[in-house]
Amino acid sequence: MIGVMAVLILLTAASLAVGSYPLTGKDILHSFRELLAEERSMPTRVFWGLRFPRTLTAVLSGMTLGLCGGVYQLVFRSPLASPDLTGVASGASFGAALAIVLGLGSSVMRMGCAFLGGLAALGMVFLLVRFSGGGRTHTYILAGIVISALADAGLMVLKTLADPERQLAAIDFWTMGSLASVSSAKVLPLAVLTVPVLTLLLLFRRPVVMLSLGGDDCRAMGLSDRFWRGGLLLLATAAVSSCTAVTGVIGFVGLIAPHIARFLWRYRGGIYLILCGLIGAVLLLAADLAARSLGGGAELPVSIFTVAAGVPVLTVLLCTKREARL
Amino acid sequence: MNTLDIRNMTVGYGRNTVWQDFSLQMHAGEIIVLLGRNGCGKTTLLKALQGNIPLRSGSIHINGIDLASLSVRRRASLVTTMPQEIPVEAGLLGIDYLEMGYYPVRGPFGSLTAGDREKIAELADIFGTASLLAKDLSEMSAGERQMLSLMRTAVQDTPVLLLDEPASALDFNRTARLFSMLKTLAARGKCILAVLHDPTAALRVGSRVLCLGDGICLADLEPAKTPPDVLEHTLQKLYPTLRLHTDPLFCWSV
Repeated sequence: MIGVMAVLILLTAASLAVGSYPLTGKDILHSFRELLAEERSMPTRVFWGLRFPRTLTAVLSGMTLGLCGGVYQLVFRSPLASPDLTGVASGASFGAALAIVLGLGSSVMRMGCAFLGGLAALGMVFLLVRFSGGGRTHTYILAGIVISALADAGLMVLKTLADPERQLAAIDFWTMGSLASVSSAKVLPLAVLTVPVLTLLLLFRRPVVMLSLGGDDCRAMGLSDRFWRGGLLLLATAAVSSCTAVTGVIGFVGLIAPHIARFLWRYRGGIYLILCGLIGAVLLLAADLAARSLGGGAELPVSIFTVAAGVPVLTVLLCTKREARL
Repeated sequence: MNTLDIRNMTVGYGRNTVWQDFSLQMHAGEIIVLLGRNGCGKTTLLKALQGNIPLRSGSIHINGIDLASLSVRRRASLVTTMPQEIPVEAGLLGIDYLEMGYYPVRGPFGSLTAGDREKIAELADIFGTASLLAKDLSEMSAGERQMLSLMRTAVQDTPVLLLDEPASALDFNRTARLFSMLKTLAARGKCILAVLHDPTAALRVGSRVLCLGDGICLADLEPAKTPPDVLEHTLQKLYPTLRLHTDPLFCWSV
């Protein structure tokens, strides 16, 4: 836990400093002093305009993806569950692509459309679950697959309609995820949406763990599994949806962060969910650092690095088989 | 005085009706054992009592309270089930599982008091399961998980206890301990309803034994008050090859 915190602080510092305009520790301290000043120096403007929002977004999104990944895996009782499962990623991609194709220029508009797309996908999943009268774990998974497929089909239609020069590239870039376009205007709504949800999820950690025992056991102990499963998924998915709206689709963080947490902590109670969140933040910060420093001046999609890091980690966990019961 | 009162209950799945107009009354201190072949509806009966499948008609009252009107949480403060097996969930300790037994009282946020933890420790001593508290669920044997599960129902401390094959994975010592625990709990005023597969165990532990056929109750016996030849004759409806002996060598008691 302390180790993970230390790595997180180290990476946060690095993320604040590194970039095409490097900042020193002195610059950063100076920026805090100049926060309210009228005239800002160049380093201060870089810090508050670019680095700080970007780092904060990485930390918030990483935490959300990691923590929600942990919640999904417990609630769905499956080590394969991840936030993409309920069709949020596909729905948000569809929303963003729609905004791009319709030429809704501003990035905030695009973000809003992506968020609505994600929520619409979630709403449809819940409708489908309700309609089928199930409410058990695999009903959600099946409904998620159906809605994902629907959104993906819609995305393909949009891609064929898109202007191949600019729009198609923008869509593709968006579906690979990037923190490059983050600005302070986007961070605020993100923080407003994710921080309360994460707090709630941490407060609800008892029901989350109880759900991992399955519905019959839950009801025998007085936990209404349908109500809690639905409510927790709604919260987690709304948070993930708002992150996806800002950063685009970021693969694998929500899947592997809980596995790393299990490997380190070996226990699902107590701080497990917090640890999932912290590890998610570490992963995303590291991936973002790589994305902006390894491209030789160009910004690379962050999913390249999260997936590139995720595959070996998951492979190692699979092979050691200590805890990963796949 | 705890009571369980099932009146004209009809339940089933889809078009299939499992129990039609089933009625049963029981009082504090009784241990009713359900005997019946596989698939005769014993588990369905327990599920209906826990509220996991809706009643088509009829009613279930515990201590005079209609279960249909209650929330899941409120219901779990009146009745709880010890399932056939609890999931092998890696990363949870025995104590975590037991603490969940306080959910109906403490709710989703309420943390356990020092008194709650003390009570768990006391129960662990009585059950002889103190070593399980710090053990991971995935590292326990099936029998250890069963003891833990029984202990969780005791932590929950409901007036009515439903047990689905509680001894299926237990060794001899633990089976004996389980039955003595059931008798202790019954003596403290609980209504206990247990599904068992061993008729001899049923006769030893049950104050009443119900022989269930497909959706009907074939017989309602009180072993202590029924002559052995009647017991044998009745049980043979379910187990044609069964013979009751009073061989002292095979007589054990709890």
